Amino acid sequence: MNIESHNSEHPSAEILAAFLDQTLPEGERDWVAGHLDACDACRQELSLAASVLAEGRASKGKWLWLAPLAIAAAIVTLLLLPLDRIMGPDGPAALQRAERSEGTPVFAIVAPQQEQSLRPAEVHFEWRAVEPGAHYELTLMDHQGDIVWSTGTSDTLLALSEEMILAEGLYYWVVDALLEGAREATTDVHQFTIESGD
Amino acid sequence: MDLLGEEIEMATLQDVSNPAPDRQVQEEEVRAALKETLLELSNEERLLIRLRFEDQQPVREVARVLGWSSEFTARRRLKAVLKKLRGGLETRGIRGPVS
Repeated sequence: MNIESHNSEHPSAEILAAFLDQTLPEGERDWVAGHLDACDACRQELSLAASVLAEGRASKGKWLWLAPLAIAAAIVTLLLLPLDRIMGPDGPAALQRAERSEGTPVFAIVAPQQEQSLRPAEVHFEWRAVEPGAHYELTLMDHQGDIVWSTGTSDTLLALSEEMILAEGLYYWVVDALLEGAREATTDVHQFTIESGD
Repeated sequence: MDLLGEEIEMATLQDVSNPAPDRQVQEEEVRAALKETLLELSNEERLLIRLRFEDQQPVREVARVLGWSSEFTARRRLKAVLKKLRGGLETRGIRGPVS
């Protein structure tokens, strides 16, 4: 890849922190993304800060121990972030908040309902139509967030293929809608449980 | 797209961007198409591709660097961008072995 960039100024630590925290205005985020694409040094700095931040989040209430471990740039970046960003729990709820904060319209699912328990043979997916001509992409993930099935359709109803039997456990699913004019919409991430098929 | 969709998509892109010697004639054309297609992406989309496939960062790390709270988001964005890339290449007459 050889995308040229004319961004000569490096973004400040404050701006990088805001980039990580998704709080930059759209135009400024686009500029920073363009700079990061072209600037290895800034990408490495941001990557380091993001890693330290993630470790901090995993430690939950023990965020203060981060300081001795972080190099200067990462510390500067970290200290500019709100505490709830460092300590906030991860998971589907956080994902939902992130999806909403990205400004993507959300549409409703029909089935399986949130936290529903069902047998493998009962699994089918249904959601509300967004608008005529929409194309939908369904993503099914296991309890670890790994994608176990992903498919596209113009319908609002999908069944698993006969060969695909879901094992017992917790699953997450989400539908993205691709609309005319390169617009997008998404459902919240919903979860359901497959119970024993016996 | 199946479970390995991301890898398959990338294999397709790698295939068209690294042709065998006997396809050398096509190389410039393919590279030009890839460059044009990349330029049609947003800065964030290009950054996403660079982080994942040039820097070879794991998806979890890509999500962190882009400030996304979940790996889910990164996987879904990657899928969408790869689809866009493939579409751009196909529009320019470039097709990989996986359709």
